[in-house]
Formats: sequence, structure tokens, C-alpha cells
Amino acid sequence: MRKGRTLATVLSLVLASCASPPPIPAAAPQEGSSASSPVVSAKTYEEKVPPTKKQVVEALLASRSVPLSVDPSCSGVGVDPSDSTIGEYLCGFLAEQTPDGENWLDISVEPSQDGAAVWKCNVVVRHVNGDDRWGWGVSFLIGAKDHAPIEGSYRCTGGG
Amino acid sequence: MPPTTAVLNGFLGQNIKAICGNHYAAPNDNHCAHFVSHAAGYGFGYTCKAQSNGRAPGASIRVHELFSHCPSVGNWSNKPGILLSGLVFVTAKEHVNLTKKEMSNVPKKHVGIFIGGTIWHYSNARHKVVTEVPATFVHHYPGPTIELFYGEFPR
Repeated sequence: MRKGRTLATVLSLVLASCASPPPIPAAAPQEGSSASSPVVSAKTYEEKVPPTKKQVVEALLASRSVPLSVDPSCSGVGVDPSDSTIGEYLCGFLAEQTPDGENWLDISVEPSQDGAAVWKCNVVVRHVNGDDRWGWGVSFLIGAKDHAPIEGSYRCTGGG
Repeated sequence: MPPTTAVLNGFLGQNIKAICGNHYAAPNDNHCAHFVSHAAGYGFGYTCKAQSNGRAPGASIRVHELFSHCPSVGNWSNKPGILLSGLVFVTAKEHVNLTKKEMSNVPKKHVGIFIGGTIWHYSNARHKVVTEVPATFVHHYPGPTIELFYGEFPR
């Protein structure tokens, strides 16, 4: 997903959700769910068909309230030390993309290693301009049938 | 054991794929901390093993985690005379809190290893290990607040 309108659309959607605290989508919370649980629409999908890139981004946007304390890999990854959610973390790097060089979202999907009915989704925000080169993102699992993000599956990826 | 000049010179010209046993060598990623950690043997925090689901021992790959693990840090201009080798960081000064020994995870940050007046680091644009002098290294990123910081080798 290089530059262009698609990335701009994603950017506007994500940045629109950057204000803290982010609102939880208006859906009836299920019993036992926490305030940080991702909420997605109640659609059903063919289990054997991988989610599209758009559906992966949709699941990630639904995860914006998940706290960075979800996994040690997410500790301190925010551009701003006060960043506390997946949404704030991603907003920080999306906002660092510049017209110089290349910007894109690296989106991939892998089947579960253990045969479970889940997909592993990887989204990386990338920028390359000479030595100014980075890729920070999130990997997470979603249910194969409902594309709902699975709590506790989040990992924050990236180095440098 | 901190790396010696001979050890670091052995890495010169190498691409990260020849250095990382976990085969984490994505050319669009930033491998500066990754190289430093393989060269010096650091495996704390988030590593190349976690990033790549590898099997070999992992090396740290995040600059801000290296910074916070240094026993002491400071402005390059205040580097103690007895500190002849260590880590050298380059980033904007507003993203560094020396008192808390914290560096924000901003995109424009870079790290290398210095011995005397020579810095070994991984050039992500040239995809290989190179050497530079501090006067050149400080220009790794443009900007009026970009500065060098030293760090005592993590133990």
C-alpha cells in the first residue's frame, strides 16, 4: 500500500481517533469485556479465506484502545513517553511520515501455526528516506470467522 | 566484554544478513541497534529473535532500550576523559532525558560504538557497517537540535 489515496484515507481515519481518551464504538459491551476490549462489527466471514488488507486495518483501528501494557514488546514504544494505547502508538508514527522519501503500510496475513481458526495479522507503518528508515507496527490475531481481535495476542514490532 | 577495534573492524562492509543468526535482515528496517547488540552481545528487551520468530540467541534491536541500559549517559561534549569506548547516540536533544536516562522512541535516532575517535555503526542507507568520526556522525540527521550522546557500555 504505497503512498497515494489509500494511505491518506487510513491516515485520516486513524488520526481522527488519536485524541485521548479515544471513544469506544457504540456497541453493546458483552458481559465480562473490559473497557479496552476491541469492538468490531458483528459480521461473519468464510474461515478459510484470509482477511483483506482493508479488513486487517479495520481490526487494527478497532484495537486503538488496547493498552500498551498488553505485552512487554509494547513497553515504551510510543513516540511520546506518555502514549498508553495501541492507537496513540500508531498515531505517533503515522504522524512522522513526511513527503520526503516513501511512506506505506506493510500489511500481511499468516495462517495460524497450530491450526487454530485464527489469522495472524501484521501491520507496519513504514518510512524510508536514506538513513531515515523505520518500520513500527503491531501483530495480532483475529478470529477467522468474526475477524474480532483476540485479547492478549498483540505484539508491538519494530526496531531502530 | 566490550568489543575491540579488531572485532569491530571484522564487521566493516558487512550486511546485517551476514551478522544475524536469526536471519532478520529486512532492508527497509533500521538495524543500527541490531548491529551494535550483535557486536557487543546485548540480548535484553525486544530482540531480533522476537521480531523474526528466530531460533538463535536474540540481540536487542531498539535504540531507546540500549540507552536506558547504559550505566551512565550524557552529552557527548561532557564525555568523561576516562571513557575511551562506549555507545554513541545521535538524536534531537528534546527527545532525551539524561536525568531519567530515557530516550523517546522517535524515528530519528541512531546508535553506534565508539573507540577513541572512531565510530562503527550500521548505515541503513548503504546496508553495511561503516566507520565515521563524531564530527560526521552528528550530521546523520539534519536539524538544529540534533546532538550526540555517550553511553557507558551496558553490562
